[in-house]
Amino acid sequence: MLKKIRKRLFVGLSLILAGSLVLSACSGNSNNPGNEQTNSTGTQTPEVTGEALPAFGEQPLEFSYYMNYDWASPSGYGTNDAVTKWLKEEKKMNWTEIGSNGNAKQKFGTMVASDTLPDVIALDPNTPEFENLVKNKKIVPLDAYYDKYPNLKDLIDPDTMEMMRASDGHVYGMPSWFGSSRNENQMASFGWIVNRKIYAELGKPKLETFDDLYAYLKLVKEKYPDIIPMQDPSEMMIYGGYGDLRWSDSLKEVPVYVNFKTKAIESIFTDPAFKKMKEMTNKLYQEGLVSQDFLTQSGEQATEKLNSGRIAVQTANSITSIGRAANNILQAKDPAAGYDFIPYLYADGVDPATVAPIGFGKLGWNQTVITTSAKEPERIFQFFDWWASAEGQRVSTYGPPGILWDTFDENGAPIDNEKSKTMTMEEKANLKLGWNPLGSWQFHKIGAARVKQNPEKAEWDVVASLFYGKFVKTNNDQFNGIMNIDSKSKLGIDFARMKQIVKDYDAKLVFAKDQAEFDSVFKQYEDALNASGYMDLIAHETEVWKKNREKMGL
Amino acid sequence: MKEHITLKADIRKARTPRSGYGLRGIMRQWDLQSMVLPGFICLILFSYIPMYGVIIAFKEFDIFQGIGASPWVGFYHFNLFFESPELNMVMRNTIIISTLKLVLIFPAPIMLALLLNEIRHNGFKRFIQTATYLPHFISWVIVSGLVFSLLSVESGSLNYLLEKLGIIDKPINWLSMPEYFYSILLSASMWKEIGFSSIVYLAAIAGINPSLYEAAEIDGAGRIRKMFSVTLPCIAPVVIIFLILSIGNLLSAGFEDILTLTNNGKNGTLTNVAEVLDTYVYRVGLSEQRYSFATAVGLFKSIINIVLLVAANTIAKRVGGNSLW
Amino acid sequence: MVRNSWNDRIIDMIIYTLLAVLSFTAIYPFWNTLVMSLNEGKDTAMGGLTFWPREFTISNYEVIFNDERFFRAMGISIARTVFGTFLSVLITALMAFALAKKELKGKRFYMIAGIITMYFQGGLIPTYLWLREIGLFNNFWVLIIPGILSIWNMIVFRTFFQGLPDELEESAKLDGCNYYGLFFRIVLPVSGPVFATLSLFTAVGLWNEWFNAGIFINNADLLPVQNYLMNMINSSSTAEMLSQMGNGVNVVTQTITPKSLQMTAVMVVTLPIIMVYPFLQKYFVKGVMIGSLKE
Repeated sequence: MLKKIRKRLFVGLSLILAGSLVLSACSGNSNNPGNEQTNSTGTQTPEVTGEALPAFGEQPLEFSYYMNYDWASPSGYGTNDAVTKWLKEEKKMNWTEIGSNGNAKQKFGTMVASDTLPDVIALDPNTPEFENLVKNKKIVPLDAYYDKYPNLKDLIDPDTMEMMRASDGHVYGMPSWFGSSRNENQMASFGWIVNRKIYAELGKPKLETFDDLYAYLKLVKEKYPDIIPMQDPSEMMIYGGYGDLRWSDSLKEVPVYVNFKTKAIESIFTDPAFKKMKEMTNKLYQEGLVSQDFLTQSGEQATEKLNSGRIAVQTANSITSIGRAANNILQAKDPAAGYDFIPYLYADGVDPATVAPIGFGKLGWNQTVITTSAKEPERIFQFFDWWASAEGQRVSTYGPPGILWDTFDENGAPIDNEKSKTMTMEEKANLKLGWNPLGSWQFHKIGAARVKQNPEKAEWDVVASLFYGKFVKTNNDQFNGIMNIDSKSKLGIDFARMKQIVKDYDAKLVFAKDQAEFDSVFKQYEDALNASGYMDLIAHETEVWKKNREKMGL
Repeated sequence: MKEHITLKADIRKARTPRSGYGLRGIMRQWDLQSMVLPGFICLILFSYIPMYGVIIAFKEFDIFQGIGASPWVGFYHFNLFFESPELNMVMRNTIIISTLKLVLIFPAPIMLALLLNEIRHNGFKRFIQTATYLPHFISWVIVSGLVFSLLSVESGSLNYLLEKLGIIDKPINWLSMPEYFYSILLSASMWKEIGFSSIVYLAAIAGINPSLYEAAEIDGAGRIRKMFSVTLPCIAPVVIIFLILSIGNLLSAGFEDILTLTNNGKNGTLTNVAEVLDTYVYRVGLSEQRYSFATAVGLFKSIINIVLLVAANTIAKRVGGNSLW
Repeated sequence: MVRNSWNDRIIDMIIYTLLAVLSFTAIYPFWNTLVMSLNEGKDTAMGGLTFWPREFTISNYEVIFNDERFFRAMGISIARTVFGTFLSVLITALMAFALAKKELKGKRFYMIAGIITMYFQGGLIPTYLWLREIGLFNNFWVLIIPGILSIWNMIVFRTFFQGLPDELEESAKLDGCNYYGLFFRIVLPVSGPVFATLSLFTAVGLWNEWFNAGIFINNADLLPVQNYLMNMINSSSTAEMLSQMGNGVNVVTQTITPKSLQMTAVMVVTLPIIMVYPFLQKYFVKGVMIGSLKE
């Protein structure tokens, strides 16, 4: 009996199912929201006619724009700012921004799965997303456009252009925040800062080597019990301090040793500097010279300490912007307070000229691609080409002409007009300037020229960036994509495992109570990595490095 | 009472013509069936139709190819999971944390509801009810930020207090010591959800017939006796249903709470005690875009959970007559 | 009712103290958030704010309230919560009521079909493709309809309905009421506490949900307030982030810090939903059911 009932229920169920399918089939077509694009598939290299299109700004242009980062949310900002308004009114350009919803991977996945990619995507190169877009012909090759329009191609070095070529020989991206060998104004965001007031009160002792640093931190701890001598031991900066152009990015994710002499990537355990660096970190922690909370605090807690002047020494990535904020807050209350940037520190006996932990990237930070969903890819390229030029960069950073500036100097740097001198901070903030989806090194050139125009008024971070920029020696591009590993491959699975091992042992090494414990944990660390395919990773990275060098002609 | 019994018999008679077998039986109780229908349609539309997605556990899913075109790989992802060296550690932590949560956190809102029931001052009672439910609205990121500053070595109130009281002579780094992690996790989780979870028990208590309390008072029962012999038995069905559901969720030991309290895994000293199934899948599966692997582990988890649910339900049915189905 | 024995007093004292401490710890984070939202952003960034603002300002609130899009987003959220709660509670309670009846044909089947969905979900992409297919993409109703039936709530409802005394319904049945009559005229009036509880749970869930809203809605005019404020906070830090990518140069002038904005957003977004509970508390009064039984 029961079986019979069930059978009938299933019949009923399938009827409902069928009904709902019919319903959906009806409503599916009629309900097509306005701002989505139907995708034209199978687009190959776009036709580029020799004829010049009307210049950017002469005809209306509209496109949708998406940044593939969790934190990225242009919408809200880029709708009522001065630049967007000007673009709309003066250049007839309008972009619809698509937010990542705080979860870029899933947002991207849904757009791919439903074949409704936005017209323009900004994303990291060397990622599976990027490569799949190329492989599945979802983005437009830009070679012909590069040839046709002047600005971007001029700014990008030829070897950089070669590096950007995908395996099929085409260039698909427009780089953002890329450098050039012609850029005289190299900037860097990584360095050391000291608390100005404390340093002066302690008589500005020599602070060049790690021994100096150790002595200074001891002194701070003794004289200022409430001050935290150093926020956290930045392993990258300490490691780089051992000279021989040790490249600090090699500590990222899973540390490896980049041996510039043998041109091979080796196990990090073959580099004595690695162990020395770890020992130093351990010592600083165990002696209370770095924050005892550095592994367990939130980023916010860390910046609060810096902003309230409770830190004597700090080094961190993007220290220029953290440092500027803290410096400005402290200086507003006490002109003698704040933070100063100092040269890179190094281990005793090391030639400081070989301390260059931070490299420069001509490839830049990310890339902007145009998808095959875009109706007018060439005109979109035209816009970004203009945006990368001195004019575009100037507008993005200092606003459209007529607000803060009317004229600019021979380097392209705007000259403040009378109005800008009387404007309040609030009024300036309401302009919401600074949104820059594609930065070129024209930005650096203009920034540096602005410093020269008025050195006293220059912003702390610009001066600091230019100062740190002098320590930059290594070209990062040769390491482009060395950690780009298919996460589904065996090496990819091992890589995920190794990343966790690194995190675990980084912490364990800091907490080791004495040398014996440290040595034993250090040995376990090496064994654990080796047991998880570390050598395969090294072979892979060496191979990629070699290929890159060949491409770049190094 | 007698009246009721005869009434019941009448009802039973009245009901008989409604019953019947098969489709005709269903049509006869059209009104009752139609009450299920909207919900059931939702179930089909929004749960069953997309459910084909679980097949990616047996495929190597590639978003660009779509589910249909992605190649079949059989039990590859399951094998990968069962062979991973972390398996034992992850399963051990998952079971320890969920068992602790079941034993310590599950009863907490019941106790809070019972305590609230003992408050006779209505204004105070309402105030406490509202206050304790507030933390539910604070995200885990903020909660763990609060925990970090409370337990900080340099400026944490707890270390300050203990030092002042002379209990410790040197601040303790609570957050980096694996032995304290479960206490921290459980206290924070309990604090966050106790008020919100107690609401449903308060609702159950509100439904208790006051004459039962009166009868107990006549028997000379004190407050504690009444709590145990009237209140608790009366809310037991709700408690048991929640208990069954919690047991059927045993392999979900937590995610956001653990992730934020370990500072997104930055605090590597805790991995060995804090990595659970969900954080593991997130780290090596979802964040690496290995959707198939994540789905396979999710499927494994669901199957174990269902087995536990069925077992819990069977026991509850045998012992007390409560059952989900 | 004179029960002032020593024992009672001690019990009272313990209970009161315990609950007072718990309440204090629960209120403090909100108070602290409020303090931060009313404090000048750069000063907040120095930390150390506890019970009172150091540099009082309402500029953080002005930033949010000066934007008409905020009110539109608020309207979307309110509409979503009100309609969604009503529909969801109705559908869920009706299903639960029917499933609480022993005579329902296919009861076991329905129940198992429901429980299975608690464990097996198709995942984001199939759900996305399907909802898009049936026209729910960029559609207000996607904020309500897909989550309209909660099996968990249904089980809670059912457990309460099963606990109702049979006597309650019998007289109505003899009067010839059908099941709808039973539900609306007899069961609904005596089930205040459980309806209040689950309406609250549903409303809180709908109000706080932002993930699906962000996935299924691209049209900024249809986004709920949670998403709107998240975008606003993110965008204020995105510009900063982007200019930092230019090798650490921060060209953005901001008078309002993202942190202050975030704290203000937390207040603005949680206050309306927190207010719901105190209003529902009157439904938690004892003896509702008994009163109607005695009638």
